Amino acid sequence: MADYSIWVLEYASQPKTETGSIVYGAYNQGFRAMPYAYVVLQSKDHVAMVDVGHNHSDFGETLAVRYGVEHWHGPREALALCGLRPEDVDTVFITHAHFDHFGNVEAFPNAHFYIAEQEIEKSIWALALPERLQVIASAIDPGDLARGAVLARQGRLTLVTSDMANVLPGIDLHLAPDTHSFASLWVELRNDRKQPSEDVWVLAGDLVYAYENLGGTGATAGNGEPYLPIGFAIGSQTNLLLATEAMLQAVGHERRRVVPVHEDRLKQVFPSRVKAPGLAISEICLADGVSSRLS
Amino acid sequence: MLQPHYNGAVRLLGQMAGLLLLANAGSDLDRQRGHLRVAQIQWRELLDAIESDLAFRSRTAAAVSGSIKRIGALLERLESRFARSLTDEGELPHLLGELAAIRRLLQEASCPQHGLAIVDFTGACCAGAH
Repeated sequence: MADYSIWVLEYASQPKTETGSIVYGAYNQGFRAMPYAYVVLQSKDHVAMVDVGHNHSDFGETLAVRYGVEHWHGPREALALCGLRPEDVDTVFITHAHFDHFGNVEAFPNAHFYIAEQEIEKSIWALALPERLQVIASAIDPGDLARGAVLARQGRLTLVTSDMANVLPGIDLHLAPDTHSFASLWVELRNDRKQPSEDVWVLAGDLVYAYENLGGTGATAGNGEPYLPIGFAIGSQTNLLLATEAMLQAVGHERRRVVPVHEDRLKQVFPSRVKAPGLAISEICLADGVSSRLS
Repeated sequence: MLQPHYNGAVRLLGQMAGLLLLANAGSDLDRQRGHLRVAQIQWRELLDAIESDLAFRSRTAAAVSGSIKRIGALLERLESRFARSLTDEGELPHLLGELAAIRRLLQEASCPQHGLAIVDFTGACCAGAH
């Protein structure tokens, strides 16, 4: 029995990213593609997303010219890959407050949002630091915080202060403070709704960029290499590794069940369809009775 | 150099937006009062710095200076009726509208190649591009 279908939707791409920024310590090991993506979780009763990507209008040129982030596609186009519209989304879990995860909330008029309280509070703290420490506040868009305030006023934003079970049926939120960001969230989906579950998927946000961060692409962690943290972290690398261990424990160390959205090889691990540059769908699993969106 | 003033205005804007987000999502108001105090001190320093520097005459400088003054007006409004201003139905639309307007002003004045940017991408995942 599977309640939810899970799709990863790539909405932009960065063809040439330093491997060292993806895997900590991987210096002089060339470049690889880094997709920008969000996740859709659809059950009979809900359409949820993990993160909402960024809005191209303000930063598109900067991201394209300075950082090579190309082929941006809006949520309407991306969600159409799995037969949905932004209006269909009722719940969004924001893993952290960086522009490419929290940057497009206005596109989802009917959604209720979840984000960690500590992520916002520490963002305010970081923005108040002297300019020489501003790397700590990088990737935060004041506009996203303002739009978050509007959501909160509308009663459409919940601050997460501790781990939360069954936010939607079978979906748990876990806090990972002091890791990639101030207080990232990761999402545990128990697709059989059982506790303990035999069908768990983890949506990792930016706690993991690539399979090397999880110790390789093999079926189990036990046969793999040691975990390597991601190349960019505002917080502790130790905490990143411990969060990785917690996520892998949740899936019984079956590595493919931890989904890293910035991993280009996701398209090889799971059935996928590339519609255009920067626009692709990976089908992680299908709910009972649901047909593939890849054909 | 305009960059520190621009960045200071952007950061203050973010602090205020975050403060309004927390207040309206039911966070503890007492903790936020501390954030507001810090923002007030920083705003005063920023205003003094830009007013004492008469070298700025460009349109960008005018936008930055105007933004800082408008942020000051918002801070004053928050200070005078702290708890109520943050969540009051009558106050809040004005505050949020003003925040959005100031952000637009700063966005239009941005010049990333000279370090004037709403978002600092140096620590973002995209920064590893080559």
